[in-house]
Amino acid sequence: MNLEEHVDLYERTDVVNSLLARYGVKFGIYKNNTFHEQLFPFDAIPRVITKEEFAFLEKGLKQRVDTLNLFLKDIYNEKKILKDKIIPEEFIYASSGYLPQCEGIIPPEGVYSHISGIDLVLGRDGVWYILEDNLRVPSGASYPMIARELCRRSSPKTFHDISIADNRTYADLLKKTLEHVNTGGLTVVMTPGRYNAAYFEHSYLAERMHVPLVTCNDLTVEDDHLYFKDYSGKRELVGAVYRRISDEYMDPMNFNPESVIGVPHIFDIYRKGNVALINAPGNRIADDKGIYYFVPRMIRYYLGEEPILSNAPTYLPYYEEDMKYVLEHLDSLVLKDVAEAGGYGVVFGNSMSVGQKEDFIALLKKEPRRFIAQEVIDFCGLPIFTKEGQPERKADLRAFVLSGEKTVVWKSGLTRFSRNPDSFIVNSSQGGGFKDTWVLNQ
Amino acid sequence: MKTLHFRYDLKIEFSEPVTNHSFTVKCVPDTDERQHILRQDIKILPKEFLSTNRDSFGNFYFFGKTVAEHELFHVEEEGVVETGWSDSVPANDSPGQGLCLVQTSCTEPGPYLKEFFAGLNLPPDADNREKSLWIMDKVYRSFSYQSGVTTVGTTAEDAFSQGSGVCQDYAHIMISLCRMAKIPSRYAAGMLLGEGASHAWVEIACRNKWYGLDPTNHVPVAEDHIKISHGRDYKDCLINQGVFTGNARQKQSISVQVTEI
Repeated sequence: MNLEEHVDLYERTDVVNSLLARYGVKFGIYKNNTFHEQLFPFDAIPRVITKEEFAFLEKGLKQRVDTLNLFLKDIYNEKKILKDKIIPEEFIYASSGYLPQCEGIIPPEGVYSHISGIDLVLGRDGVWYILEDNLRVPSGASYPMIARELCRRSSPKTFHDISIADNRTYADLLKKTLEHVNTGGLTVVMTPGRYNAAYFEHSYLAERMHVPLVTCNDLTVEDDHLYFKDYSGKRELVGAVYRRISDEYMDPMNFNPESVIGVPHIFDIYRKGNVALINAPGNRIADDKGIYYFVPRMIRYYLGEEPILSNAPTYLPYYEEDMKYVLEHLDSLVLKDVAEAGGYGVVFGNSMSVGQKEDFIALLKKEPRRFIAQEVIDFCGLPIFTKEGQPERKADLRAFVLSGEKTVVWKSGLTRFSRNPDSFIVNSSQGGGFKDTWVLNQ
Repeated sequence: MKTLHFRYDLKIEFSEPVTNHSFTVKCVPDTDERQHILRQDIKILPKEFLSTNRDSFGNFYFFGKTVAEHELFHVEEEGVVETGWSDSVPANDSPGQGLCLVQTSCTEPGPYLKEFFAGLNLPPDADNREKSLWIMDKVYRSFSYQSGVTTVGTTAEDAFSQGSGVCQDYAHIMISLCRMAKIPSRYAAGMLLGEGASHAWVEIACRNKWYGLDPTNHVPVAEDHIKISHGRDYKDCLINQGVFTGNARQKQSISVQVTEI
């Protein structure tokens, strides 16, 4: 496919961006305790994935997400992987991502991660590397959905000429995934409210799925069940909550008692199997960057298969030999604080001053479990459209994997790019932009 | 073996009427290898719905909600327990001993506890039980009982650095030291014969059994203790939790009576 042919699409980038602004496609950022809402800049040159490449990614992503689901079930129940010493116990118990409250709970249909956002980059060596697994509340699917819709309107010819897998199926896929675990009753999308960074997405997905968008004030626990109370006071049973709110704020009776955006006792009835919470509470342990190191081992352990997709080469300073390597190669590594997300807590070894290095090494020796070190992956950029030409910017891909009756990879994804030509950090919370991801039908 | 009669009374008085009151009450002793509940009666008022469950440590609890206005929340409980059936309970329960090696915000040691730990001179060949008896002895001698100087939010380090506190502080300090010594240990909440308030102590794992040790009284847990719950620390064993709507001050009073029959 020759991208040059679709200049009409690119030239309408501004039109699409102004429509996105009109539809309220925004991204909220908290900085110094104030809330800023900014547009999420869209670039019309898509990431294009061939049918064959997608088939490969699909296989690898399914393998990874199926494994992570098995891991979560094991960790909160039998703990075979600890007893067999594949993962040291303290990596679980000392992680803030492990929630003892979730011990012994098997969620409806045994699914822990219903919606997984897996971040990958394509290395210059032609290899796809997994950078991060997001099994809590990964956001971003709505952006390529709405961008596709607007692009189809602004450049119908492009979409007539090229056979691209339709990504507007996401709402159906998501609804099916949620209904698979529904314990009986309504399916709802629960949002913390309009000041949340991803509020646009919450409302958009609820609208596309034709399900109620609710806040904590609309939900109440009574008689061991969860109910939705609408404006007229009518009470309806709820069986599945796609909650876009983190574990710690979900229920003041079981997690952070200060939370005013949660539903008291929702976790107690979840424990009884009377409602599905999507994704399951406690999943953060699988997002832990320390646990990431063990995913290839998990795949071998649970499935008896070799990992199809590679991790970025990662070192755990917890192990003595890895610590030695990290100290000797600090300049070529990127260091990540395991407890941070969204591009925070990431330091490049070669960007530190001598004093900073000394401080960091002291911290690393004091708290080796807190950090991982990775080789800096030289990953491919993608062209972006500007009036002056098409410069390249670093870009990653967030693939969405949905686990319901079967595990399915959405034939699209969120491609994020760095707006700064020298930056490797593409996170939207750091001011990056996004592209649509096309999966070709042939 | 002893047969103990207990009476537990928890009252929360609100200065103004409150509504939408969700509550969780974890104050019910349960039968295990060490104690057998012969009977118990519980009254919780007011309540519009009331349900029961077990938490991830296996502790039994009530949860419920009252929407209507009220100024008093009252839990009354009374029952008979046989204690001393065993000196321990099995330690193959969930979540397991590994979790009980990890310090929490309540037990995380600071310079005082670390220095104290360094000077413990633990007998190297002793098993976990002997080591923890040793630790209990040292804690008992280095810390004194005084009520009113600490609060429910005081950490082990803060309590230890000031030298006195209550049973909760004794337990957190001992847990902190045991975990530094790699002895799985957890917090136990309950009642004690002859005491007028709720009590707390420590359970340590040794040879796949949990043994109770009471550092406040310098005794192993035997026939005088009625256990209600256990967890990583005080926060897992909160007797009462609630959220409500209303701008009210609250006064909580607990009275406990344990007598031998």
